[in-house]
Amino acid sequence: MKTANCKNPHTNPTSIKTRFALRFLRAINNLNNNNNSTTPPLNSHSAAADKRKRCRAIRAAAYASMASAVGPNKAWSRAVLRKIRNRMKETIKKSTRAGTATVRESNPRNELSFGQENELRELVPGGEAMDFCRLLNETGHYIQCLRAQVQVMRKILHYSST
Amino acid sequence: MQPVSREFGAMNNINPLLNHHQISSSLQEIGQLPQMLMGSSHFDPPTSHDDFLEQILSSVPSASSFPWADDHAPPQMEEQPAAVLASKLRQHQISNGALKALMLQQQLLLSRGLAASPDDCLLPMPHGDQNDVVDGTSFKSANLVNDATVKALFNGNFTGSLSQTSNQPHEHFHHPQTQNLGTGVGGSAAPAANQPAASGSSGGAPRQKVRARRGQATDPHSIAERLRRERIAERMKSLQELVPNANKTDKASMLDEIIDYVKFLQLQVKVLSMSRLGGAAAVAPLVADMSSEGRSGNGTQTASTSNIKDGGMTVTEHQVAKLMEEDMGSAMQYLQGKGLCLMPISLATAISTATSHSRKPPAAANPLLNGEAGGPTSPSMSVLTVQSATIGGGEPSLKDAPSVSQP
Repeated sequence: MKTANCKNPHTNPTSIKTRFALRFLRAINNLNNNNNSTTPPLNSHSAAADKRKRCRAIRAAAYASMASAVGPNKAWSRAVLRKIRNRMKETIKKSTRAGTATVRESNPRNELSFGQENELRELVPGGEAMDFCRLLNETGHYIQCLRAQVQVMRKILHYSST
Repeated sequence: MQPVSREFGAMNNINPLLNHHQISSSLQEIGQLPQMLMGSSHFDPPTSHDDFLEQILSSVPSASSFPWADDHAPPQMEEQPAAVLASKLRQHQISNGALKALMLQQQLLLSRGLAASPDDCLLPMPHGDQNDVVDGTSFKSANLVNDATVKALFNGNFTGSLSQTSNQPHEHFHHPQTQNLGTGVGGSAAPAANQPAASGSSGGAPRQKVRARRGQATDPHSIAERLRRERIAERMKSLQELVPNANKTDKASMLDEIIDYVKFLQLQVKVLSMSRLGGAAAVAPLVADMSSEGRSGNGTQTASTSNIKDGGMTVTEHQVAKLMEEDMGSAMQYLQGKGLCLMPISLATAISTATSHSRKPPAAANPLLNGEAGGPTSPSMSVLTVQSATIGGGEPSLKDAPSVSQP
């Protein structure tokens, strides 16, 4: 899955969108081909479970393709990719490797107001092991990519279900 | 004139060293104030400019002269420009709550206190023969801090305007001055400004401006601290542009907004992934289209989607109608799985008229989180949806009574 990135992916949202869309569609395609489940019978419980599994798989595929589209330049994308790789290798172990070295600036006066900083760290992948300043950076980029992801997914949905 | 303006220029140079933007702005104002004052008259620069300012300040609040003014030679000013300048100073005091005057006073008095050791001069302004550039090394030497005294110094300024507390600051200035003279520490006021700065930040708005001194430069910790805080403020500002509803009242609420927005986006992704179920057949042509980057895939894409659309629409609606008869929950789930929702006709029409798009409508209603124009549907479709809802026995989630007629 190689796409030539002439532009800086971090400053060009359209290129990110394109790359993400491509990877995501491919991932879904693979998923569909692997599953080969056609119509969802809504009555049976197994179908519901399958549906949920498929939802989760699609969501994972979305994040994975976004992370790979972004590349290893950002900490959060690295964290996501690491998580996926870990999950693939050992199905049990989560990304504990990322969270061990917590290098937080010890500044009691500052941003730890009501645990918001911690909450943000939990939300942004890979957010545990960075200082607050960097966390804000990553959050900004993460928000941009999430937004692009949502737009692309919506478009795909729109085209595929109309 | 020259040295004075240069000194004030130097004072502006030290603004970056200040801890607080407010302080820097107020200092700049102060810097401009004497310039303004100076500009209005010509005079021979005295041996020490502080005398001149002293004259202004002493003449304004009360008749009491500064006790240590006796140490220096009597000023060589003319009376009239001094009076003019004094009146201007008074005006400024009145207009600005005496902050600038207080700052001037402080600097004067502190510098006076430090007059014993010229090297340790805190401010370039009062001493004409001093180096204009603030001597950073002097700050480092000022590790001895008479916190209480300097705090008293600042607190004395904090209490009201100059005219009211004309006597109090003098007394306060007395003590730190004598003590400073005793210790001979130059920038002792400087690091102490940290604490008054900290305490001042919790005070009211008019108090804050008078507190922090340029001595922040001494402590590498505080410099790093300040840099870090500035960087964080920058990032918060840039984040503010990303996140909607961002009126940065304070950092905490801004952080809340950011957190909520990230959660919201992640939720959107989750919901959108839930709606992928029907897209298997249609994804393949999209992939082909994407990889070819829109060369010839468009035709096939539209064909396939249109086919699916025609088929899917009615199927979906029948499904929904059927499900609603049995169980609303599963019906909603089914719709949700398709990325759809039920909505009253009025809302649908309102949206459709607002967007005025006549795209091929996804069945029956908006996709769940679709804020785009592509959502809804021509009114006929909403009619059908609501019709099936009425068949199902009334949809509790619909707000309006479902109407069959075309709106």
